[in-house]
Amino acid sequence: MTAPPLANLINELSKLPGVGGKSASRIAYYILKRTTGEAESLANAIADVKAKIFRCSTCNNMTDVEPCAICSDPRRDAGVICVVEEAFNIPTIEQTRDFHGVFHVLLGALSPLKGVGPQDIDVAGLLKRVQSGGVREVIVATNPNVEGEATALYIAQQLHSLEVKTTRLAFGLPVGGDLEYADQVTMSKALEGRREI
Amino acid sequence: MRPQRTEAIILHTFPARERDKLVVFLTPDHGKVKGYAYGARSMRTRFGASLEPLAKVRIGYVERENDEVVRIESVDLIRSLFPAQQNLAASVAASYLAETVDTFAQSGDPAELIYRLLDRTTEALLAGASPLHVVAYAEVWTLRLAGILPSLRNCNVCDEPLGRPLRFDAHAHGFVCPNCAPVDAQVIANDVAAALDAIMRTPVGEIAASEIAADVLFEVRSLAAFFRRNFLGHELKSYEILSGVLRA
Ligand SMILES: [Zn+2]
Ligand SMILES: [Zn+2]
Repeated sequence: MTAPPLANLINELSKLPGVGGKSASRIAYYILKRTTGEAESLANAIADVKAKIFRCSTCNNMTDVEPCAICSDPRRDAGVICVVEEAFNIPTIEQTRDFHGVFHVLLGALSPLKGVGPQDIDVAGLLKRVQSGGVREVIVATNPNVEGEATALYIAQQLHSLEVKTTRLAFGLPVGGDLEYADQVTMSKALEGRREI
Repeated sequence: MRPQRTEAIILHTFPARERDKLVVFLTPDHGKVKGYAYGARSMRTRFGASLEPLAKVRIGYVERENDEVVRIESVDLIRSLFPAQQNLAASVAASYLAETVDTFAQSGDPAELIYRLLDRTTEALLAGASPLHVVAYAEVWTLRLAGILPSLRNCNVCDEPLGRPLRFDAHAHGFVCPNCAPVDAQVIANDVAAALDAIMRTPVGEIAASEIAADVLFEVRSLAAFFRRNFLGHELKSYEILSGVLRA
């Protein structure tokens, strides 16, 4: 039988996304082998993140300052808003270093199958930002799947009457992929999003 | 390890582990099947758009011993829902169809009729049919195929043939004749009864092209909702969202 404190840790770890029972047990034994100091710094990091991180009141990004580092950066162009489903999508776009605008996190995507409707995602916050003026373009960077498409369509409808350019991130062929393996949806989206060279 | 290859319609997918998807799909011969598609969430997935909800596909999978979850080996896209995504009501209606079928279809048993219903109604949405017409059709037929829809021909209490107007008695869970009808029985407008009759004998494409008015279809839907809730004990998750979109 596993000692209760160890079983408890394994149980807590196995609730993490992508961690099954086996991995949870491996991580728990790994932590046991570390020094007390190392284990404490892991525990403190977890407690810290809950105590100090909150949502930016402007863009819903996870932050420890209000407004967040991106919203308060004078070098960023507040006239271009990139809309993403979740805060963890921001680093993916940031790492390109090609985007100099600001973000808006919806906190989800329209998903009727999960009972998530238009009222459950933060489109209202986005509309308020656009209505308050100065926004030239909204780039919708929701996921390239059925839910992300429905969300993008809903946002486009809501922004329609406001004077702002609304664009959707291009869909297309994966870099390093082979044309031969593209299905008809990927291919027709790639054709639709073609550009002059 | 038994390999299978069949036509299927994707009902629902869930993220699983790092890059995988757990996929629920409907097949004509084996009903609802659950399977893992390894690597399906990665940007370079070989599954592409073929595992999105309501995609019609040819799917190859392997059944594993003592495991109700199969391993998906190959998926070829026959028809995608993406073109219907240009219309929010059609997109939400499609999700609602998927949830309806997911709720009522069984695992393991042949499901040819409900498969065909889902196939034809999705096809109609892709062809630009009115989502309200398609949804009302699918709701009534799902109840019929599940054996929950009470007779429109004979009294639910005494089995005498029913005339018009149709009377609905919530306590008897169905339609009743004038003799059996309690004072609070709801009289169904003749055009609503006619719409129910038409749905029973007409393909979805014709219903979608028909002139059945929206308020008549809302009545049909509320009757269907009564039988469905009564049977399930709850409402479908996407019902309210769809209602909001159809009203807009
Ligand atoms: Zn911010
Ligand atoms: Zn009777």
